[in-house]
Amino acid sequence: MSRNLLYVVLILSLMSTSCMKWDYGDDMEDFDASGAGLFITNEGNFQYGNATLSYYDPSTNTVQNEVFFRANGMKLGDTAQSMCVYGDKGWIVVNNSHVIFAIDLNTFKEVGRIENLPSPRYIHFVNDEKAYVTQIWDNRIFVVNPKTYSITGQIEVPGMTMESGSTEQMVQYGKYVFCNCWSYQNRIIKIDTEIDRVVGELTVGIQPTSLVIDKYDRMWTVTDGGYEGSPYGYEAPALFCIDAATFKIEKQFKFRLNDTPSEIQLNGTRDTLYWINRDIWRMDVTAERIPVRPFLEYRDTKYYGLTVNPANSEVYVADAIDYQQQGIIYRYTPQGQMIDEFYVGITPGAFCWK
Amino acid sequence: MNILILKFSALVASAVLVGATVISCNKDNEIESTVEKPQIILDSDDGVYTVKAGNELTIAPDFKNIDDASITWTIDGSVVCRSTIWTALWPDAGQYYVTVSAVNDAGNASEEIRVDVLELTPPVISMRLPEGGLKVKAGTDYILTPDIQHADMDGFNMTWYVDGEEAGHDMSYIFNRTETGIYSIKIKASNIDGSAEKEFTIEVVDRLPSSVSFSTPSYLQTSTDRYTFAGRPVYLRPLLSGIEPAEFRWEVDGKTDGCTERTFKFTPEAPGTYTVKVIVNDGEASAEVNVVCVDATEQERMRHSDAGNSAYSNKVFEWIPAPGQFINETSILGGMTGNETTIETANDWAQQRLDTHRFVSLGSFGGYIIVGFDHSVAKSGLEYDLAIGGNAFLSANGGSNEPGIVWVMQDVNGNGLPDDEWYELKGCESDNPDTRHGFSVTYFRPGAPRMNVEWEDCNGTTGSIRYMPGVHDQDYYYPEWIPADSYTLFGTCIPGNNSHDPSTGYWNNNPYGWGYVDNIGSDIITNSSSDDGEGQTSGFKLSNAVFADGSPVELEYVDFVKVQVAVLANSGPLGEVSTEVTSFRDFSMKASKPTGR
Repeated sequence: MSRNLLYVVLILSLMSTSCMKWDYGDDMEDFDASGAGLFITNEGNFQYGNATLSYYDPSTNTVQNEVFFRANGMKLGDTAQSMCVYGDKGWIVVNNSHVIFAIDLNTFKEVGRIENLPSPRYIHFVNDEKAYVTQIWDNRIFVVNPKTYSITGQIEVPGMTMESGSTEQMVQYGKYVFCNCWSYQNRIIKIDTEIDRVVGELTVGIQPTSLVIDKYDRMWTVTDGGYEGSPYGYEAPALFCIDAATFKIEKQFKFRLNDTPSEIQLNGTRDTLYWINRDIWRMDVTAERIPVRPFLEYRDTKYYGLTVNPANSEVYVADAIDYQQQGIIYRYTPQGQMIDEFYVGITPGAFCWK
Repeated sequence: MNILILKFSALVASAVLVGATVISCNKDNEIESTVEKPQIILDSDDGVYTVKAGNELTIAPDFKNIDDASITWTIDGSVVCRSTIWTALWPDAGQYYVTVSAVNDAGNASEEIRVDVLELTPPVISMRLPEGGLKVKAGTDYILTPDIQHADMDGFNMTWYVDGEEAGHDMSYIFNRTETGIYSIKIKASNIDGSAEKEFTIEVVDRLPSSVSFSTPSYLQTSTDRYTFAGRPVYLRPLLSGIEPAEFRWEVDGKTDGCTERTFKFTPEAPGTYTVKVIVNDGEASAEVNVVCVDATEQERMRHSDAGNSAYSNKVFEWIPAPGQFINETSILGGMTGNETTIETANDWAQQRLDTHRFVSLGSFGGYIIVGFDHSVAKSGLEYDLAIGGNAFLSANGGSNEPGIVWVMQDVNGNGLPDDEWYELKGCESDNPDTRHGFSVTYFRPGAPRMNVEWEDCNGTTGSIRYMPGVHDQDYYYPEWIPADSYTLFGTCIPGNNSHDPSTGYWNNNPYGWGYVDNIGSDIITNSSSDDGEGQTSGFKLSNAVFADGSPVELEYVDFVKVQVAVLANSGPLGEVSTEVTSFRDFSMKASKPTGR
């Protein structure tokens, strides 16, 4: 499932399937990717089972595609949504395969999996023995034990039906995990990790897409405002700054009605925000207004994913192109000069730094 | 405002003398400035200012601490103003970045702002007018409804004039004149950005002109000649215009046949050219068509395949889409180059797309593509004979299924061109009573960029292909390679199968049972892009080929294949339902990977 339902709707008529077969044999390869690197999860096309994992080494400017398949001799599955690193493992959330794979960070070989998740989107680790898994079209956040790869419980989100349910990205402040509720939702929820229950919620705008927490312990989310004709409403999107301690909105910056911001990200020092709104935008977390000039201009294509190297603030942009061919990743200096570009899999959507 | 801080009286005089914005102080015998830095507080929350092209814009930020400050407004490093208030004329549309700065001894303040200069949007009037002029029968109502862009702007006003006389101010005008003759019509529309006019004539006649004709096999073909083998019938059905059909009479080479129906099933038994004539309403109108019975058998015409032949179609003969959101689309979504302004370049582009198994959109109802193979695709005896790729998929709620009907043709006359006889391959909707056989829709070129494309079907129903700003921003959805200002596409129209979920607002184009391209039916062959490089393909059998009356026709092979959009439907924000094709393959031959990216 694409992260942006509106885009799913809009691209229905163009999701062609004409992609090449990968030319790898059935043998499992032995990777040894020690050192820093960047994983790219490629969603593939919903219900086509063609999600893939790519791995990029910034020090050598080399990319390896379909590393999960090559390392494990099996496909990653249908719609890889997100990935994160915890401990010495990478955790890949494969939405429509209802699974989270744990892989070795250097060999990419599977070391475990959490199965039977209805529609997983993101995983957040509370500690070694507890993690939360958010869902779309479900009103539950699942509690899992990463050590045993098992589901241990669930957190029912109040005021949310199964049909309209949506929980997405998570950040943690003290013992609280905050989560944005996106599809047909308009709020951030607060979960007490000691009791695994939702203990608070904050209404923002229509459909907050993503969530980060800056160096001043302020959370940032950006809404997409819904879409024209949506029964849930349509409004100008906005960027919200929320104090994590008080769980109150500190600042709000409005976009124009036809803007479609998404993918809020931070640099490594967590003092600069980045996001996609047709172009790529950048703003100091202390700024009083959104800049008028984009950081990277639109390239007549589809910017779909974004990340900033936490070590050196280089910016990586995923281009889904037309959602049917291999996507491209563009790599920029912190000043916005392109220094590399490389092909990955179909519909690259999320990044994960090792 | 400056603040005066006086620590040492000795400095007072000098501070005052310099008009002092003052402010200096001395601490431990060091003199330090206490002038405060300027501040700029914009009179726009987001720093973006909007103005229509050709208009003046005044920007007046609130400056603080600027008594001694230098103020500059710069564009690309050039100073354009040094005042606190800047008024400028913006002649050209575009985005402009302006930096306003204030500098004093204490420091500087700077803000980058953006001026969005918008195009003027005066009204644009587009009227659906038939080729050859508009004729109206005396004493009958004819409703004129132009499509007017920017009618929602402030100050909109419109006026109708008939022969120079003011006749109304509504969006539509009911024209009715009892006197025959030519009337001039003028529409004037205006809003705050300007005005537009549209003039045309209406000829009022006692009786609408009538005509009878036979169609060509496709838009590009010019001959109405029909080709067949001995013993195989052709179904002849005239197109009628301005005639209330009451009676038909048919003649073959001057001899009256007994048929009195509009469709004449003619079966030549021996090679030769037969002239068939239809006479309507006892001579009110008539037309002739040649039926050529070739001096060859079906087997003799067959081009047998060998190992060197390609499994895939190798030539696009005609890509004549109906208007649609992917037509003329040069962004990465549509992938066109902008050079597709002739039939040849459009066909070439479509062929390149098929070579790489990438989609070619057929637009709205009736849009089609005709392809050929380097051999005859024979009835294989396998599960299917043809495999045709689309981009359908299923989702939890329905998915995207945009059915296209397959038509097949044998090269009966052996000239290598698709100018012979089309046979439809049956699908699950063929016998649906709501399926309209012999349906047609005429599409009209919009009067200006970024407008809906108006259409009118053969029953007089009108509608439009909606322009989708922000999704597909090309100027026109009407194919650039169609030279005429209107064109008519003929085909079979099956009922739409789209649905709208009122709770989510999402639209779904639901699948049909079987028999259509770009549809996940029971005849799906492959449904994955990662397994075999083919993507979503459906299988088709030549044994499903039928004559115009729905009866089966035995075809041992085919040389040309046409896929034509089978529905006239719109799915809200998804836009018109339009078949996409990605590949045509002889099913009996092995699939291979696309030839390039």
